[in-house]
Amino acid sequence: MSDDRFLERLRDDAARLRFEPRDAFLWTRLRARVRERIEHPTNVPQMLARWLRPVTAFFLVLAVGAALGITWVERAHESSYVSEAMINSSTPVEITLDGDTFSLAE
Amino acid sequence: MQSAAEVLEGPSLGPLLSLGRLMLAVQSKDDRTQTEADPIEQQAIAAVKKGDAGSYDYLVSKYMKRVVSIAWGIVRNADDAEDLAQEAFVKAFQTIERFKPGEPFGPWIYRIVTNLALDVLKHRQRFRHEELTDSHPAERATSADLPAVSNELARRIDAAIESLPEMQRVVARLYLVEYFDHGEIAAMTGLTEGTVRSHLSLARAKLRDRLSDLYGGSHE
Repeated sequence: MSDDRFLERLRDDAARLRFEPRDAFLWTRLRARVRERIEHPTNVPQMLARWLRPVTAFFLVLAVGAALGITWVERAHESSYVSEAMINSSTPVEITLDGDTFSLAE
Repeated sequence: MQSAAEVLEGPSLGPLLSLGRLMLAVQSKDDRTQTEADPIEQQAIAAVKKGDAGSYDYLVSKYMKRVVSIAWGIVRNADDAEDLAQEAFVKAFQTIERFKPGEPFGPWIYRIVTNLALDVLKHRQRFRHEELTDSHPAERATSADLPAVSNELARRIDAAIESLPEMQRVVARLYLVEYFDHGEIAAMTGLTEGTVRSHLSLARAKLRDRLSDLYGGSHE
């Protein structure tokens, strides 16, 4: 078979490879989407909002992360300070139960 | 010599497949001639240029199947193809003032959607988002994407085309599946006609080799 004949036969058989949508509403949806976009084009505030929304979200996440980080550092610092204060304290700890006093000091 | 369909499915489906092939050929011919002269199309374009956005619906309805098919053939993903078709129609609408009166709308919208689809391919390559698509694109097309008639033959041809290098694949698909000629493919892809012929020649040699059990080898 010649190259041209091969290509001709292949072309005949390959024609059935054209796209067939699985979704029966694709054509209706596509028409509607195009109509919507050309009849209600995006205006400047909408375009700005589209850009600003992710930027705002980014900074919001950054701020929340920073706030959580600072809180965590402060709490860690406070708890280490309290533990240190308790260890360094020279005052014995006394507990009274039913009139009896128990001391935790050595 | 047996046809490729007979090799795969036996002789009983031969007449049916021949009829199907004939119908596809007639349909394809209709599609081709539709782009050449259509007074309603020219009226719709003129109306759109005057600001009647509603008239654009005629152009969308007429070309959307072919436009989605072209996009799908290049990007191989139904959702992407739908989005690309939408973008192409919107872009064509926004720049319709540049459209020359009297010319068919088809080649213009086909060029727009092809360029958008090729941009998607470049984007995928650059960012390696879809490695599966780049290395084994045929695997993404499920059998449901292909018509029911002679699915096995379609799948074999589809896989052979998808195994080609990128531009050979795109050119082969536009020529074999979408029935565009060399000049039209050149206009759509931005390649020269010589380059299109070269891509097609290389693709043909590879396809002939990979489908030799169906169509016979080059020495037969």
